[in-house]
Amino acid sequence: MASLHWEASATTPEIVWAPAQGVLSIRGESYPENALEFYQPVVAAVAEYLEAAGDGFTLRVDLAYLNTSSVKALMDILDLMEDAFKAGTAVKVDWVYDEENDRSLEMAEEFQEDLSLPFHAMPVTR
Amino acid sequence: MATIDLLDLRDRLNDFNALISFNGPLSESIIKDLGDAIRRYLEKETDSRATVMDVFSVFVEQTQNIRQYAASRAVDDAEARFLASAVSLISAEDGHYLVSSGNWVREADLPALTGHVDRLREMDGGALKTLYREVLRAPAAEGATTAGLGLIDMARKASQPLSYSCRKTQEEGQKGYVFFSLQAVL
Repeated sequence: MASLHWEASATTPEIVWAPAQGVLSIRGESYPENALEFYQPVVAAVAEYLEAAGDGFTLRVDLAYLNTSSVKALMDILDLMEDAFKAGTAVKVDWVYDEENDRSLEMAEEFQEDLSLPFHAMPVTR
Repeated sequence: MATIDLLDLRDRLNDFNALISFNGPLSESIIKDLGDAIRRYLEKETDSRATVMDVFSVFVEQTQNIRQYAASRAVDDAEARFLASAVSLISAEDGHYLVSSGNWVREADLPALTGHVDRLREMDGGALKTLYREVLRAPAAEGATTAGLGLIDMARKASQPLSYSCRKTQEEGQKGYVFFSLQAVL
């Protein structure tokens, strides 16, 4: 599987997909108007990887802000991960958040409520 | 051409306790730049990062909703520009920040919009959270370009029920448009 690297733009985060390590990293802010369309190739890559019974998968999120359609796109990725987890694949979420940003932690907690997969909220000081 | 005199406009903006206002066609880059300006301004006014992010986030959802509406409804470029032309206002009152927007909506689309806001107005925080999760977990409709979460998210961030008004003018009324004003008090 090909690795992918999207540079951050004004309203989109940097996205790095390293299938060899099974790590998808999303970092920055995410509020494009067309978030569902923007994330579609990312969702497709994750689906393909997990369907091929990848050895393990880590989603590393470090997002200071998401608009609601980005939240929806992220939920699509988390749903794929949750299904894979229930089927026995080792998956986990590392959610990095700024200690000063309450909203990022609250969002992590809301996602967690709907998921049983390992979900680690990791505070950083910036 | 008449001599420019902005005093009346200034007085009106002062009546609203306007901090930042915009009037014109919204574009993705204008939303980005205005959003940055709002954040920079508020960062000087408050130490609460959450407050800054909430105001910014409601502004983004309001303006992106308007852009989305214009894109989904307009039959030609002229109507797209008209429907994407909006007023956005960030103001302050009694220790609260207010995030407001105003735009033209087709009269036929109004009942669905106001019905949705009316339902949200009836809900408490718990009900809004439940609805948000339901919509978030529902599979996106075929060809959907929007998550349908914007107004629910605004209602959740607001400290009071969302408020709105609809006003018809002679000229635009004849063309079937009504001006829709929406306000979230944070």
